[in-house]
Parts: sequence; structure tokens; C-alpha cells
Amino acid sequence: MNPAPIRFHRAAWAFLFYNILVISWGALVRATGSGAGCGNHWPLCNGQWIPSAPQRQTIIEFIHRMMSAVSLVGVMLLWIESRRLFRPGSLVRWGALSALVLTLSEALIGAGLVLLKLVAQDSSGLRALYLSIHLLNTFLLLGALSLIAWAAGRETKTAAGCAPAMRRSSVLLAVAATLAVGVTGGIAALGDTLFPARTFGAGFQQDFSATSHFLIKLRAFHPILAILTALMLVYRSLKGFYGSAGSVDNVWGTALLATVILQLLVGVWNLTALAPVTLQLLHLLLADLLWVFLIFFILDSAPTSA
Amino acid sequence: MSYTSKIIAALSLFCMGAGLCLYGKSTLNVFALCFGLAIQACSFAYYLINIRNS
Repeated sequence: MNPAPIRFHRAAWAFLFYNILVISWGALVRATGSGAGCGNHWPLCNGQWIPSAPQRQTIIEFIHRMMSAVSLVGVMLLWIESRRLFRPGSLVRWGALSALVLTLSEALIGAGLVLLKLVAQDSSGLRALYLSIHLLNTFLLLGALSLIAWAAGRETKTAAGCAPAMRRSSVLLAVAATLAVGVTGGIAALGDTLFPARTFGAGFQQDFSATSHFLIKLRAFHPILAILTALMLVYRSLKGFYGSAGSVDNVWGTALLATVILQLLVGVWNLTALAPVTLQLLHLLLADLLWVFLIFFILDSAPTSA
Repeated sequence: MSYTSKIIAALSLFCMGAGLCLYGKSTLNVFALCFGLAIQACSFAYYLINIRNS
């Protein structure tokens, strides 16, 4: 194999892991209430390119912006290289273009959060909506990057309308349910940050109180949906998607199974420990990994073309 | 598929850009963002389902 595609393949993997790091740092911004660390300025930070005498919150927000800027440069390079190294219509080219668009939209959504002041202690419905869009965009970006990393190392093609209906529905259901768990998790984490419970019992009562803020009421959906989705993913990782092998024959299936179980345990720990920042970050990191493993498992279990 | 992917990318970027232009002026920006994202999500799902290993 030509060394340039090999380098591209390695760079795609490294870039995927770098983006997981950027996403984790973004969660730290939210969990520490540092979203307003640069005031309501964007792309400048408190009206300056480099903040002078920054506070802790400014440093956290500024680092996230710098990491995101590096990510934008990285994805542009990936896109340029994909055009140079892969043929037109290649899955890698599509993935790189999609990742570029999603990185740009990620920046726009981040800008919206700051410019519309949907940060710090804001508990509006618009913030919850923006956060959900932000999270969906993030997961799709990770999905596109996973697709590049996977497809750069092998020959693939797409065949419209050829997937068996059972496989189509099982793949779509697993992807949609995992995204829904991610979104409800983001809203639950926002509720935990804005309205921290003093004890587990008090938090549980708040969840079902008619007078509670809507973010607290929505918090209860996350564990219910997460358990149902986990059961489905465990089943899929053991049995595979329609017409494919399960975890016994697939390393990504095994990784998915292990991550789902670990994520459930961390979720319970997070709930009972009243969602400290470190556990929130670990929970998100595992959610990112679970999503990436699910995508790899789906891709790896794709049928072979005739 | 190369033209389709370019059209999809241009359309979703246009929606996201419109979303940015409408910041603070209208709730339309949220709809524009959602629409742009929905286009990306659909195209991602399409590739995920129809991919074949050679």
C-alpha cells in the first residue's frame, strides 16, 4: 500500500481521538459554568484575541476555543488530503466533507450559545434545545470521523436500497436510540449542574414534583431510556445486526458490549454520587466511546458486495 | 454520489449559515440549524445502512 494513504489512515485515527478530547473539554466548560468565561464575545475572548489576566473560567473556555480551532484546521487538512488521495465518490471523501461541514456547524452552534447568552446559569428552554442540537452535531461529527478512520483502511462501496429491511430497521433503531440517550443525558447533566440535589432522595423527589423546573422533570427520562437502549445494544452486540456476526466474532461488538455494561455502572454511580464533575466527564467519555464502537460495529458487520 | 454529497454539504452549510445570520433576531435560526443537521443525519444514516465491504 502507498505510504500516503497509510499516513492518512493513522492521522484519521489520531484526529478521532483528539476530537473526543475536545468534546470532553467542552463538557468541562458546561459542568464548571465556564461558558461565559469570554463574556458574550465570539470569536474574540472578552474583546481580545488572547485574554489578559484571565480568571479560571476564562482559561477553561479559552482552551476549549483553541482546541476547537486546531480541530477546524485538522479537519480542513483531512478534507484536502482525502481529495488528493482517494477517488471521487469514495466513502473517505464523503466522510471528510461531512466532518468539515459538521465542524463548521459545531463552531456556529458554539457561537450561538455564547452570543445568545445560553451559558452559565441560564435555564431557558432555548438553551436545552441548543444543547441538544450541539450534542447531536457532536455525535454526527464523531460518526463521520469514525467512518473516515474505518474506510481509509479498506475497499468499500455503497449500494442504494440493497440492505435487507431487517438490517435497515435494526441499524436505524440502534443509532436513533443511542442518539436519544445522548441528548437526554446532555439535558440531565444541565439539570444536575443548574439545580444540584443535596441528597439522592431529595433529587428523586424533585424529579417527580409538579412544581419542579422542566429541566429537573426531564432528568428522569435519561436513566429509563438508557436502560432500554442498553438492553437493545447488549442484544445486538451478542446477536449482531441482521445477517451479521455478534460480539463473539467481532472485536467492535465485544468493545460495544463492555462499554455498555461499564457505562450503566458509571451511570448508577453518577446518579448516587449526585453527579460530580469528574463522573460527568467520565460518563460523557464513555458515551463517546460507546457511540464510536457502535458505528465501527455496524460498519464492520456490513454485508460483502456480490 | 460525489455530486449528491456536495449538494448535501452545501445545503446543510447554507442552513447553518442562515442560522448564524438570524442569531438574536428570530427563532428561525434554531429551525435552520435543525434542518441543516437533519440533512447531515439523513445522509449519514444512508451511508451507514448501504455500505458494503469489498
